[in-house]
Amino acid sequence: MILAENLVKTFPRPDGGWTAAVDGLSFEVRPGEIYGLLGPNGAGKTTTLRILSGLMRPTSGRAILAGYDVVARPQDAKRAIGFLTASTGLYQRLTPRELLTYFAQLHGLDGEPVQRRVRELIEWLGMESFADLRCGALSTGQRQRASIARALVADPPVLVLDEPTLGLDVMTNRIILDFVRRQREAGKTILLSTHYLDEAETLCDRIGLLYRGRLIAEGDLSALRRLAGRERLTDIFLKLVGEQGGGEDRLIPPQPEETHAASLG
Amino acid sequence: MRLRSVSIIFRKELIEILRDRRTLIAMVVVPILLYPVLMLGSIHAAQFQSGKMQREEIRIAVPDDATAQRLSAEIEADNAAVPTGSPEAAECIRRYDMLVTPDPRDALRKGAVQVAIVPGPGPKTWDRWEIDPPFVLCYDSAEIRSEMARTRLERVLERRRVAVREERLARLPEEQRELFAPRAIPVENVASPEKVGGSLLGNVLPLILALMTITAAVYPAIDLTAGERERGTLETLMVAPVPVIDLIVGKFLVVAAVSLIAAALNLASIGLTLRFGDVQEMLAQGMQARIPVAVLPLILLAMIPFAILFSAILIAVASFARSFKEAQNYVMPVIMAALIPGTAGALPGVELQGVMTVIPVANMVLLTRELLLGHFANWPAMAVALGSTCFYAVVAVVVAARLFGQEAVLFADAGSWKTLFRRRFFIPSSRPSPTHVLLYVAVLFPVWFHIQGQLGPHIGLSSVLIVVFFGVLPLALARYLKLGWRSTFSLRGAAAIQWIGAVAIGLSSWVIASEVLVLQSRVIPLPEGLAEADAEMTRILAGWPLPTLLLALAVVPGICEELTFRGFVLSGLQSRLRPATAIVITALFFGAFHFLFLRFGVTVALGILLGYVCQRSGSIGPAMLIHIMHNSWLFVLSRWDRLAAALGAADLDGTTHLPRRLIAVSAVLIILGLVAISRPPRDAVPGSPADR
Repeated sequence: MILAENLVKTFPRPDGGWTAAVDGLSFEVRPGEIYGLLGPNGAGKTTTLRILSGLMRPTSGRAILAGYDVVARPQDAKRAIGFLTASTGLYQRLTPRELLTYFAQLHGLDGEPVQRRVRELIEWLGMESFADLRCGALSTGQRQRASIARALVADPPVLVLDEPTLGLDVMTNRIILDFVRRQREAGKTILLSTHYLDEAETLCDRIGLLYRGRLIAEGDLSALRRLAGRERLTDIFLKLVGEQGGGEDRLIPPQPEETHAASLG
Repeated sequence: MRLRSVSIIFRKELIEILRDRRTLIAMVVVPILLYPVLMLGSIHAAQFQSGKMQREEIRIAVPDDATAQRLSAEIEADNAAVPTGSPEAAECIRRYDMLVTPDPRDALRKGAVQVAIVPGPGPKTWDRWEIDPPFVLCYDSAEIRSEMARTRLERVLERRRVAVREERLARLPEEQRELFAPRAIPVENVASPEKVGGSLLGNVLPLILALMTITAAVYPAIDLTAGERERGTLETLMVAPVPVIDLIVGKFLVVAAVSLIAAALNLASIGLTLRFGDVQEMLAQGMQARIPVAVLPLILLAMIPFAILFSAILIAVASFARSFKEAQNYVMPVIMAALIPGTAGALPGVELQGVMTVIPVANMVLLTRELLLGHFANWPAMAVALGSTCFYAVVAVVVAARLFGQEAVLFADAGSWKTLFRRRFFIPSSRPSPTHVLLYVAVLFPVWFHIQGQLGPHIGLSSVLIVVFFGVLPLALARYLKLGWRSTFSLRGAAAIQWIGAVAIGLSSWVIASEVLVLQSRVIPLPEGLAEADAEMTRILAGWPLPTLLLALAVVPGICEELTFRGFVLSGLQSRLRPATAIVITALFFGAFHFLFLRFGVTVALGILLGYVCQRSGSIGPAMLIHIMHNSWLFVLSRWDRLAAALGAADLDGTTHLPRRLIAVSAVLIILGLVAISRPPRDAVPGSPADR
């Protein structure tokens, strides 16, 4: 499962102050559940997912993945996570098969199980025709399938998907969403961020609306409908965000001795 | 660091980089093809050019027909005398043209001729040379053709001069021959052909090889770090459950392997070109020279630490960049910076000694030259050069691991790289990190080596510099990095019993140290001149009052060196390493910083003792006390004769054993002191995992 407790992440601003990209965020994702993190650009979705996957250190707060604190036990937490973003690149000079083998090995798998798992994924995702071509020669859809396979190669209990369908055609989109559903049936904990509200509507069990680094609403679709008094998610979203709008930017004034980011040490 | 993950990463990166055309070109094609072509081509071109010049007609201006005739006769005689096919034959003047003019100098100045003959200080006729020759040979040093023509004509005339001289000598009765100036001084070259070849190659090869090795490493270093960021694969890699140090070590090994393969191919290519191309004679230009091809594999071995160092530096620099282009911008100054000491090392007359042994790049260039010249007797300096290069490489790898995948590098929105250097972004921490420590040592080491070599017996200046470099510098650094002073420098009190233990050790450690040195002198003979140097030092020190000596050479180094080594260095290393490992590495640094080859073992042992005392007591105080007392004894004994006599230590020359009873008592005192200090530590002890 995923547990975020009061997560805060601040970034330095050019004028010497600090901006809070994530500002006291708490939520929980349970096994067998798809949790959708929704919000406009700059709401802090990506930063939140990066903290959860151990790419960024939270300024304060706690994130637990499969029982491991991502700051205190980074390697254990990373072993439990499959991470996927739309911007994910592939090694151009490796084939998908080599790529999958490499990441399986990095996750500690070895020998025959690696080959079996790689064959399995290639079959599931229909990658047979391009499994032995170099990634540099693949189409966008083929690449995204290879990326998904890469995220799943170690069969992690937690999946963190940052806009996994961004810029994909309908066919590939369908393959990927089906795959996400199948992972839910397998009991995985899935956290998903997306721009596509219809996608969230059909896919997610619960939805968290993120705005300016804070959760402004959370619950399943019916709960959100009740809260906003609207039927479609798009309208719910606009209503709830609109209620927040016009609020002042929560900026923290410059604090010269305050320290947030990492040092060379 | 786990071997398994490092090897997984190594294999994958190697496959990937070997599938890249650009790497293959830089690594394989350039040395194998370009090198021989360039080398042979340029030599042939040079040869062709000089051959053409030699075949060219020489134009000579002379003042009158008589001179023209005599000069022609000399040239023809010389041509007849030199057998065709001899090395000298190339210098003969086969084609020439005489221009008779009243003002030959003017013709030369106007460029109508290449050399001119004008009437000289001697007799006007060529039949009689008297003491001065009858002519002056004029040339224009700014014109390469004139310069060459002069050399060749001078040789012809010199032949004539020697002939005249020998003819006159032969006519003289024996007893008058001594009136003549002696013959030319005979000169003989004893260098073996291998050595001549080594020296020819030693001037150019080391720098070329160094550059080739660096160049081959540039592309893979950038591709594996900044390239990964640019292509968007870095995020997924950083999410994989592998420590960054494993990633970096794997990548670094690939870069080092590529640059070593390139170095090997370069050397092989040079070797083969020299062996089978007719390059040797052309390079040697008539000298007896043979290239010592057998040394080339040895040079490859010497290139290993160099390749390792540069792979690590390039990886560190490129880790810092967000894109390929940015990385290339960072790498260029690094290569330029490497060229400066490299060129300094390639200067004639610069030798592998003193501070040159620890200056990166320069020391490897010099080491390669020593190998080519066969100066194997200089092995201690070679060992220092290799060792320091390896150390710098380790520092660079650790720094690279620190930078690689940093938030600020990984994501543009995580604030710029300023977060890595600007103090206001630093997170306060109780102690330095190993990266801080290694960087500090790597920078301070060559600087202090240089200072130490320049200092001589200025004890005043020396203690000021010790205060600055070993006292003020680590304190200021700790302040800048927002480290906790108390935990960094172990500024805590110690228990009374631990102070007593420290006094016991301080009273006796010198006895054991002195005895170990005596035993060591039985195995490793003391070098000649050491006793004289010691006596000289004693004479200088005798001029100072005892309190000054104790202050400058015991108290100041005792306090400051402890602040640096048992303070900054030890606490920094302990934040990542086990206490025992940290203590030993600190002691090795401590020993290396004393630059005394013969005392290295003893200094390291003392460093281990001091590290243990500091670690167990949790306070730097007892270690400082022991250090001060240890340093003081030599001076105290040299001034207080009666004490020295009573202890049986009147003769501390490094070869005389101390009385057995004194040794036994000292050993017991040290053990008791260690027992006293080892009492169970109170709650706060450095080395406990209080912070990350």
